[in-house]
Amino acid sequence: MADQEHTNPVLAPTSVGVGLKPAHYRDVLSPNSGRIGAGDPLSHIDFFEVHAENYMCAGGAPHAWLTEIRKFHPLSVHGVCLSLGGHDALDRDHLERLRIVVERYQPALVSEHMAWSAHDGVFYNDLIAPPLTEATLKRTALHIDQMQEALARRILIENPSQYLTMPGDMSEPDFLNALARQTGCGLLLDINNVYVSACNLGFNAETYLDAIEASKVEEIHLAGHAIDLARGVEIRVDDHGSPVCDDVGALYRRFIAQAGPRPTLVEWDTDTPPLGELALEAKKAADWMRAATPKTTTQTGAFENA
Amino acid sequence: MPDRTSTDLPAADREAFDRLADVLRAPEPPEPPFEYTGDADKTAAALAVYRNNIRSSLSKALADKFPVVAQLVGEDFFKFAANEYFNAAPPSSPMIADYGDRFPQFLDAFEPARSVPYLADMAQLEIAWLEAYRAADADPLDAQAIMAAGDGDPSDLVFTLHPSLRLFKSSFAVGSIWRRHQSDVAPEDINASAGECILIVRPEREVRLSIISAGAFAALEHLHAGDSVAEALGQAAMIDDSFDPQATFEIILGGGCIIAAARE
Repeated sequence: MADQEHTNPVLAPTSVGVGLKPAHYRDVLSPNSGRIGAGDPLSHIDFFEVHAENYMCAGGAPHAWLTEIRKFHPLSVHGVCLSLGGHDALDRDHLERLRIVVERYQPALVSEHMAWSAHDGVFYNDLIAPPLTEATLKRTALHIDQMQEALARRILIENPSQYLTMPGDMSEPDFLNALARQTGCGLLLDINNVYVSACNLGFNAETYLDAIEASKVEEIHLAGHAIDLARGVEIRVDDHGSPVCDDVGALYRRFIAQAGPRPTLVEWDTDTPPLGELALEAKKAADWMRAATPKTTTQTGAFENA
Repeated sequence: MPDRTSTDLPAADREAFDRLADVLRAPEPPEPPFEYTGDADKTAAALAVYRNNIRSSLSKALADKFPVVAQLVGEDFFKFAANEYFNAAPPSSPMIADYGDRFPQFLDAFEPARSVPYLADMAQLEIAWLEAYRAADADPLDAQAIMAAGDGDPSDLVFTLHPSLRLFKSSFAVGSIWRRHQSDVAPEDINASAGECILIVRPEREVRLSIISAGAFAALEHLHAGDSVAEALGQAAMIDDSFDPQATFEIILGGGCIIAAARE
């Protein structure tokens, strides 16, 4: 990051984190509780990621807990509702709420999605992939400029899960690379989303990953997904409700082998397990990262900005 | 920063967003054929996933905000009501904590929920609880600080009440019913049609809910409006024959309701 002198911590490329839920607060602050076979769960967790929207309140228990946790652990603030990929103008009130959360917690990373959630004044509470057109590119780039200006820092932008073949003439990797080049933002590469989209839309996930400019990728998300049957069609649903599957693990190792280590976050938002079980998922990711990291990693494919 | 302004943006592609948004919002899924590229069955499956994600996440958001209402009506009925509420009033803001602020009025007019007459008041009480949970932090004053502010006599003091403080009056026993639904309170016989005055305040991390007398409630309303202690207690005595100023003062102080005191 450009602001080393700032109070924001900087994550080592090999850092592994997990999504933080209220059910974990107590265990995160009590090192001897929630122990697992491999020992202290916190020994496998380098940082925590929180959804910004859960801390958009004036005070109360969520802030009391997170303020205490922030004293001991770096944070990543992940926005899920700003609708950067939408057609509506950016919601300035929501951007201001996000700015306040970022100012309060000085996180190591701030991220949002290349997706829309609101249209024509209705908020849909989901991350919907936009049509990949020049018009969407211009609009999303403008929204990212506005977000980075309001927060006075770079952000990372995440690829969405795709279910529907949308009209559009750009590939998603080209679209994301162009956003990063035009706005200076980094990329949050969600490898589970790439896999889910590849299965649902019928493209090759490896080709997708090869087309992403690896030097722009500053965080990776891993998560589990569900396989649903809707109208007789098998469809993968990004529900973050299970362990990371082997296919996603293989794609992750392939990316790390080519690009070098990146801060990696395991998301588990539906039926979230206790901290000890989540820590084992973090350990699994750390083991994958270590095994896949090329021996000469310090020279090749290092982070552009680390 | 690059020179980009919203006036550069073409408006023509709005239609792609409009079409999908209409399908996502419609009460019933669309009939094929669809105006999207790709296989019709796959498109139907994809639209079903989006429609289900939206409805289930918003239903869950409401159930998180109204846990006692959800317990009172049961899971299936609650999901049904949440779906009807989405159809009637979808969220207009990304602040999902505010989604459902019109749920009490919706429940009040919701014919299938008529058998539980206090449902709307319970929803209103749960909104007040969540507001208290999320309100700004402030340190309450203790009795000593208040006596010091009034030089030993608090009569002519005016108070700033805690930002989390909420007062709610119902013609049903929603406070008692709410408490019965918290896991740590043993079941008791409740006359649902006995009205209650309820004080909600969060002086520290935990939200406290108390059922208070009509006099104490009136005194708090007057203090909240900026009346002095003497005025507030006088008004309370006029509406409540059994008003006990000392007990009321203890509720207000013990509840951590006051954060600042000054002479009128």
